Amino acid sequence: MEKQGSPVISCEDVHKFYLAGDRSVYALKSINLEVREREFVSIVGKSGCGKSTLLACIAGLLPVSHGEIRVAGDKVTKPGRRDFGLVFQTSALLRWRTTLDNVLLPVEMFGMSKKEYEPRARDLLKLVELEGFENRYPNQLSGGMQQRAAIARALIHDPKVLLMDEPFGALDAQTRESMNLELMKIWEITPKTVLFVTHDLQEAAFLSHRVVVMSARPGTIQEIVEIPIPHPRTREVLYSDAFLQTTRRLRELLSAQADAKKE
Amino acid sequence: MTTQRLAPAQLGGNDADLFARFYAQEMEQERVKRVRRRVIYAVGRALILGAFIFAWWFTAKFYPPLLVASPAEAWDGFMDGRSEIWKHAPTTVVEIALGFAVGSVLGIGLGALIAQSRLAEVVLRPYIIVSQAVPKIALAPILIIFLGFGVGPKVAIAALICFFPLLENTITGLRRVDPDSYKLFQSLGASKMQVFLKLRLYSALPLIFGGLRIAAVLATLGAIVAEFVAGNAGLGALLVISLGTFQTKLMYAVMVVLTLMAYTVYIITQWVEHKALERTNMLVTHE
Repeated sequence: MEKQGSPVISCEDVHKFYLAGDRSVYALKSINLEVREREFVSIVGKSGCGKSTLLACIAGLLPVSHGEIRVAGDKVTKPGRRDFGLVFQTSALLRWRTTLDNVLLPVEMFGMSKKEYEPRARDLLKLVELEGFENRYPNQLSGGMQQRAAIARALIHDPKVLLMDEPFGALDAQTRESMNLELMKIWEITPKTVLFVTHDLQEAAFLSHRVVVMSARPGTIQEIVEIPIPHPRTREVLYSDAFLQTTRRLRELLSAQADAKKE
Repeated sequence: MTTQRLAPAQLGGNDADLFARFYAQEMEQERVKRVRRRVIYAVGRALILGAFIFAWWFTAKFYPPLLVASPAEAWDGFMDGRSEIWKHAPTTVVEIALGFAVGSVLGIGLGALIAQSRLAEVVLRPYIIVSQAVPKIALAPILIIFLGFGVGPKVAIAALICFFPLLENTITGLRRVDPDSYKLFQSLGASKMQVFLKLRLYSALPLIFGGLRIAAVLATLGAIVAEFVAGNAGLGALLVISLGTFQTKLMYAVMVVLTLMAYTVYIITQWVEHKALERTNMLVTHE
């Protein structure tokens, strides 16, 4: 496994408790996690285990109840960090903007010159294989294409960190697999620090250096699994013994949770 | 259109040729279907109009002409009273336009304020409902005292009647944004103003225009009713005058003109809506 640099994201004894209507949720309990520079880390767990909440806390979209999240040394208190790029389960593309204008949205929000960034936006669209779709509207793109445009948008301001919240969760299995291959290709070209939330164990094992397995109610880190497969990762990886063993191990960890619940 | 069965040998040629041929074939079929659909729509509309005019004509036969005018008599009333109608029409048109404009600014403006601030909503909401609960027609004499006998009170009543649905639609539209898009804006550190101008306003466009269409019709209604109660000029006033002087034919003619006027205002608004939504790619077609 390659060596990564210094820690970029660090969570120290993070707890998250919130009230939602008449419900109170202990979403995260004592989360300790470090993500190093250029490391690809996935968070897996069943729905309701707090994995998306953790990502939202790191992004500054939700305040933590206790503990501290630091990014590149500064404490996270609010959203809007320019060294972050976010991708959600839906593409969140604006229907009234062309693909190119959607990709340029962060530049516009940061008050930077759209003109200056336009060549970069076109290059990124080429990178995600959307060349020729610059002037199409989101509703004219397929689900996979929309998600690729969302990735280009997340990369436009060259952030250090990519936070991805089940970005391929709404896609069919074939598209998801090709998106994974493509994401790996992009990551090889522009290696970012990536935190990737998913409930697909194969996806997590294929993409990541490390996989964080979470258990629910309250959301805690059950185990962090290292993936002993060297990068670059190609389709061949999917058939390797190391990959099969890793996914098996992840599956066992999750089913152990279910058994523990029953008892 | 005849569809001919092709022998297998005829289906030779490369994909591009076949594509072009099938494309042309499909386009032609689509065109034929479209024309047929339009004819059916037009016939349907004409049938209903015919049935209505027939029912009107048939009913009128049973009443004295002093009380009910037939379609033909209404036409006579229109031809005889043309100059009178043209004299009064501009006043009404001005009242509708101003009432609609004031009501729209009020509806969208207050809607934006309320959608942005919970405090504004809680404080203003009861008074907005009161403004709708108050019998607006009974307000006319009071408004005359403040605004005089001119177009003022009519504009006020038209605006008061038409702003409410627009307000409600604006609030709903501005508040209902795609949650992930909102999260994206937050993650980019967007200000409230940026969220409003670059996200909420666009998302709300379809509902705002829906509200504008309703407001257009209500503004017309408001202006006419206000003239009815407190007017000496305008088509609503002419309606009252013709009623009082037993000019039944003229009254029917004015009624038809007013109906067409409200219809036209709606169609114009719909056209503007179509253009605006088309430009912003917010048009959702059903066909």
